[in-house]
Amino acid sequence: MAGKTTRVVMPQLGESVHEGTISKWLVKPGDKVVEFEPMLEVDTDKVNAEVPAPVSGILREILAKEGETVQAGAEIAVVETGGGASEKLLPTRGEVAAKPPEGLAKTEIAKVEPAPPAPSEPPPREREGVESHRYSPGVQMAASELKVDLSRVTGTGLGGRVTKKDVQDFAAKAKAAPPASAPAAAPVAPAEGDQVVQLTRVRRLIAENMTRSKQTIPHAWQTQEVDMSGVVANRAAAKGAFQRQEGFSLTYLPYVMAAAISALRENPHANATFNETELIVHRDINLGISVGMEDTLLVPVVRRADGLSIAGLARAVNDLATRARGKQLKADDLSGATFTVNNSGTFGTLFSYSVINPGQAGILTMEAIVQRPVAVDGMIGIKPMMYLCFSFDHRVLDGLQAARFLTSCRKWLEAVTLETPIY
Amino acid sequence: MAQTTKTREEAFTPDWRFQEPVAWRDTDLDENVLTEWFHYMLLGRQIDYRFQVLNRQGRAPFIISCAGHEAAQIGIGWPLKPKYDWLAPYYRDVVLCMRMGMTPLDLMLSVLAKAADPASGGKQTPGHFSDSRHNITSGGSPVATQMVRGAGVAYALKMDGTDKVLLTCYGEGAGAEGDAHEAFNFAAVYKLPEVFVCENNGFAISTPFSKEYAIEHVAQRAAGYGFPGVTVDGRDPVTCYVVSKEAVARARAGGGPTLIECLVDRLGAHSSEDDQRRYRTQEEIDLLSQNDCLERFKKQLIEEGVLTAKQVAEDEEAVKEEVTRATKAGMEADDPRPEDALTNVYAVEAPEAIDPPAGAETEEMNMVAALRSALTEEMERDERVMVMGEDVGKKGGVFLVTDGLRAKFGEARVIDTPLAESSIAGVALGLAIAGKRPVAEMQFTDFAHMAFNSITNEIAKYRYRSDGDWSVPLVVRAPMGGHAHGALYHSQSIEARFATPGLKIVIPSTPYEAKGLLLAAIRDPDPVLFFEHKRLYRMFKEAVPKGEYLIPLRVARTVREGSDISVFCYGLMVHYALEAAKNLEADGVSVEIVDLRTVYPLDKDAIIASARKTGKCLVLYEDNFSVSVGSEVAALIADEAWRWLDAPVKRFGGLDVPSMPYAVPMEEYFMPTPDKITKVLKELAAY
Repeated sequence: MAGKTTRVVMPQLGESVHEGTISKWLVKPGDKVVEFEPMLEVDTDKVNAEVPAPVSGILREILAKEGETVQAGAEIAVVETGGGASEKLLPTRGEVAAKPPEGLAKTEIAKVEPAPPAPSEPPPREREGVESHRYSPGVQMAASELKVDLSRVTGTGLGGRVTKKDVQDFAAKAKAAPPASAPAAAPVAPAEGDQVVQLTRVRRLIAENMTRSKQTIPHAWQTQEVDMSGVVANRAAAKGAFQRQEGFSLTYLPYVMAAAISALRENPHANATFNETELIVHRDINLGISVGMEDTLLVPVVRRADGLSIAGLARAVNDLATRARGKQLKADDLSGATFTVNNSGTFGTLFSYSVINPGQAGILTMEAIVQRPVAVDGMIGIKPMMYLCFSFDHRVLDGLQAARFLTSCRKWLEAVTLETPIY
Repeated sequence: MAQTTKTREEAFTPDWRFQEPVAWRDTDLDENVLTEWFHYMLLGRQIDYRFQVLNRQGRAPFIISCAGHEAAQIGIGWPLKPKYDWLAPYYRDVVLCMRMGMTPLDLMLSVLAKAADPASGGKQTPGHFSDSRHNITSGGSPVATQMVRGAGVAYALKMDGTDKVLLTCYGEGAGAEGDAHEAFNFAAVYKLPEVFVCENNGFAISTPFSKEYAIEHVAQRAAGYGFPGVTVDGRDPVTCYVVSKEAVARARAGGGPTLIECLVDRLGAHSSEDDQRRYRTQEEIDLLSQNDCLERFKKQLIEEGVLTAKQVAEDEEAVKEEVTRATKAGMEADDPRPEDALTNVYAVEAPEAIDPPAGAETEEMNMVAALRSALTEEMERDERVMVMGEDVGKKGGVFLVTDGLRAKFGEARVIDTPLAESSIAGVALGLAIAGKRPVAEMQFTDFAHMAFNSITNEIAKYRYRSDGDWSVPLVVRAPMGGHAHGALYHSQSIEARFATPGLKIVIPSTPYEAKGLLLAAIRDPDPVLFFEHKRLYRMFKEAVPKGEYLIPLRVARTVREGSDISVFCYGLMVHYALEAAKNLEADGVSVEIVDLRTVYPLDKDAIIASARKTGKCLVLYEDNFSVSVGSEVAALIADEAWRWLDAPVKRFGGLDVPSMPYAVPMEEYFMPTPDKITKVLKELAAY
């Protein structure tokens, strides 16, 4: 009676990703699914991606519910594809289990994914997922003996589970380098009428990353004011042709990115990772670009950005932003940035004290370009002016180097003329 | 060339006869003896009445009657010497046991289930007589088991060069059991000093003789085994005495066994649980009382002037009083304490570790050689130690473990048994209770199922059911396990199936271990099942010390220290686990391996300690996945190490199919192999 069926498995969304949380099923049992058409949305470390159907047919059963965190390769749905053949399991249970995270779990997850965080406050009941907040008795005993706050331990076990070894490793590290952080603020109980919004996975990850950044990186901040006359003129002259040729509009962002790239070349220590005992100065310039969306913030990466022209940078940014909004980013699009350019100016800000992404030495923010009276050759003139704000890791850069970097950026932007090629 | 025809020196004549009645004056009996017999018979009958009263009063939940058997028992038992000869009784032998030394009080203590019950301390139902002081072996309820056990005792008596005799009794119903056949055959082959007595009352509970036998007389069977059979009227104690005296004399003189069939009546029902009116007419029942052996003997004694009617009446009064005194004393005796249920499962003491002598010479041995070395040294050291089994003699066993022992220690201590596993175990039990230290070999664990009752119902329970009166120091060795193309019946892991309190089950993993553990097993006061993995027999050699060293039983061994995962295993799996553990080193996973060694009872402390240490446990075995020793280990960890666990307790075993299939692909599929174990360990590490 039952037709031939195919079991849909959780895809591996990027090389370093071994699990995902199902955020939304776009089809329900009984619905028709079409090969290559979106079936569900999956939350991985930072990306929310649409997963297309591997075959066409009728969705017969959903095996992993919304909110469940599932290992890559695990079965999540059954699709009936018609025909009379008996049901065939695609990957057997053994085969799926045969690709355990192995070594990569420890290193990469720790870096890219602060893991499903443990709740720091008591009520663990109606939290999403299951494995993320249930601790084995052995873990609880170890945590109690070693006085480890489990909410701060990154899990490396199945489904990001905190293992006993994780607790022991955490305690060993904590002993070696006692944390400087102050105890977390006491949880606030909601007052009457307050709305309690459960954090999404992405929101929680952002929160953790930002907290980690502020707890571990001594932030310092500088700003310089840039005369954007040349850039504005250049863009005004080029944008019509650009729109026709490329199909999207030319913004100021690629100019600032180009300036940052040039400045990073001149000041290589700003393109570096502070590694406790050493400084890793990166060869490649992989530029992270903040893309703000309604409810989240993504920082996709333009790899080897120093090889691109202004137009090339524009294309890369356009591609990433389009895919980000379409939830088509892969996890690898989101990792590996060596420096970040932030464009909060589009929202009208004048000064931003941006938070550095952990693992980078700084973040450059372009602010709003504003027509402003300025002194020009002893006279008052009106010019398009913009503040460039620079948050930097004071362990890596001192004020002098930071100022040199900012100056390089400013000088590059102010040197743009109508003749500056964008291709 | 094997002979295909056998020339007979004399014609084959089944040696069976019906013994015609003999007058007491034509024997060596006198009035005093007959008077004493009458007293025993009265005692038996009066005790039987009293049992019934106690049963109806609710004081004795279960009784079984000897009424109608008294004459046969006293006549048959009279030629035996109490405290010298041996008795393997069955449940109606009240008079016989009293003849050998038990008292009415002993019987009352038993029927009232008192702590001082010499047979079992209140652990067995009445009728399971036992008393080592009187050489009365302990019986269990499955019938005919006393026959193979008795053969073992008789073998020991003969080996010791004494003229002691063992008398085995059974009801004719038990004659249908395989154990009866195995016992007759073994006793005949080895010409044992034994008398088999069948108390034939015509009913196996309700099944009549015609549905039990297709021959006229039970004793006719003896001819088929090669020893004489005699049928006698069991209501006539004098004639019973005459045939018994002849049989006992024959046994004492080394002439071998005799089967005596006493035709008796069962005057009452089978037991207090039985209502014989369901299968006997009132007419038959009435007829029985007219033929009552006690009344007949009483009449004869009065008629022949041995006793006067007055003397009979006085004796009857005296017996009633004696039984009443015994009943009162019995009722006043202490009940067992509830916790006495836990006593005498095992001996209190067991051999302790003995290290190899300092600087002991070693030799590279495989497991077969190590086992042989243990047997040889122990047989040299202790002449009670002996081996027995199929092909263990000249051939040296199918795996050559006992090779050379026959030449060195002779036929008596290296017994080639018939192909009859139940009697191999049952005879070993008899040898052990008679003072020997037998090491019995089952050719394969698969065939040990034929001895399942002997091992789990008799050997395992012997100490417990006699409340510590008897000790059973024996070893049953058997090659076990698969991955050697042995298929369904040469591959099985039977340790879980045989695990019974009272037994210890040992499975060694290396030659060194095998020798030290076998020596400890032989010296253990309790029965040990010693299963040797066939694949390990010649898998590798290692240095094994010459001379004595003991590895204590019930103590596990940490083969490999680790911190991340504990593997609990035994036998061949220890080696497969070691291989798998090495495969995980590259991943930085540290695997601890615990060799259980004694799989029953478990070394709980060692298991719990390792489980608590690592928090992740794999229980590994090649037995069926379900209802295995591994299942028990997993349950123990769940009970005792839960708070320390960091992952579900994982079991990995053979398949839940009846046994290991033959074809290599299927066998491979069945077995936990190093590759499969590696995969399981990786999954557990990643959990």
